[in-house]
Amino acid sequence: MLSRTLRPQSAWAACRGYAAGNAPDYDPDFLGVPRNHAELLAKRPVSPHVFEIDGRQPHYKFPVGAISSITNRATGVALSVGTGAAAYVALTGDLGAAIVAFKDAAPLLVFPVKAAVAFPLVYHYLAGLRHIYWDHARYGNQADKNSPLEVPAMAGSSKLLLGGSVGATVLAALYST
Amino acid sequence: MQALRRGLLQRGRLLVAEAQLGRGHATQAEGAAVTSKATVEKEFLVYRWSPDSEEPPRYDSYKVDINSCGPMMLDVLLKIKDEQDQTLSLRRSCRPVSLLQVDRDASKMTRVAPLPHMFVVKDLVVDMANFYAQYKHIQPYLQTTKPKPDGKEFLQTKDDRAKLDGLYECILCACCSTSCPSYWWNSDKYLGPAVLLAAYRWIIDSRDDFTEERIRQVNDQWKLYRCHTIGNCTTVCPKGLNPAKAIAKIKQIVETGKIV
Repeated sequence: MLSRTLRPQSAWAACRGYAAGNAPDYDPDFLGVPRNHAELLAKRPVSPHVFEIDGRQPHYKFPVGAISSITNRATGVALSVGTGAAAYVALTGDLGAAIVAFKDAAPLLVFPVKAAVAFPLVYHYLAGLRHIYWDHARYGNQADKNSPLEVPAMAGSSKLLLGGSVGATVLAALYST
Repeated sequence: MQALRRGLLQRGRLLVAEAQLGRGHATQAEGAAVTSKATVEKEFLVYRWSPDSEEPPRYDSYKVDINSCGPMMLDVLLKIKDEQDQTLSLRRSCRPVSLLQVDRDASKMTRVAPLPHMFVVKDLVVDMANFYAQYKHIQPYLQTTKPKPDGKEFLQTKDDRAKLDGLYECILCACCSTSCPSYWWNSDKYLGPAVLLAAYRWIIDSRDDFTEERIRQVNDQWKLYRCHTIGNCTTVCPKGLNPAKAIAKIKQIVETGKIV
């Protein structure tokens, strides 16, 4: 088991993880890890991951599967925040009237706002279905290249998901009673 | 990242290319006419950082004639180290199985950086202590309670042996774990795709008798369930393995209680 020494630190620093310098102290008899390992780690930079060392350009081109995954997370946060805001308006005022007032005040913004509301709903739902499918699919052996978690299948399903969600969002935003 | 997969597919060409270039020796003296190749300069930006200097990390530019060099990325780096900058530090454990070919397009600049989100020891060498400690943690060795049936070896059916294909080939290069954003944010607590692939390799090995304990050890919010099926691991594996699928199967075993 990784050995950890208890260092006095704030609760926030303690939960921050490895990159913030919370590296556990490894057993020096294991693989010749030096005894001053923690001190060395404090001085070492972390290699570039999302952004380059200038912090501006991306370090590498994210695969489309990773993009679909972070979009799922972002739409999930958007749904939580949006539902909370809508609930607040509904409980303290009148949500229906607020929407009508908005439509009258800014008729040109109606389509973009409807799209912005529809996209998280559609995308998160479809991405969630895909995830449930992954969790319950019958996988064969590791060497079997026919599963939904192979590289081409993931890339294809991600593109389909993103493209299909955009299409469904446009349709939903165009629809009006 | 796609270059890694291309390298895997074109691996057969390495042996032919090495023979033709002769690795600097006169194996061309077979009577075959040696055509002098034109110089094709390609620019490489290599990540540099030294613990001895106070400077922040930077990228140094090197121009290399890729026609007078082996076809693999490692050949280029060693050529830079030989001819241009002896202070460049790199690990070359991949030498026998070096799989990443250099993109022959000389107009494109290639960026060479260390494994992502790891502490940099120097230049392209990163601190692997955490990775190895996590691998040790899952006890990657056969554990049995029963003695060998004939006193010589543990036997296994062909079907059971087939389950290990796509698992035993792992070379612990850490490409998958260091490409996983979840492992970036939680390296200390999440085991990462490489270690979970190894854990699965021992879980479904029919000769191992400690399957229950292995599953119980790995069944943890942090060790296993930080995986959100992002899928970078499978995309970058230089051996074409599929850690994402192995982790999905571990989760199924945990949920259903049956070995799948």
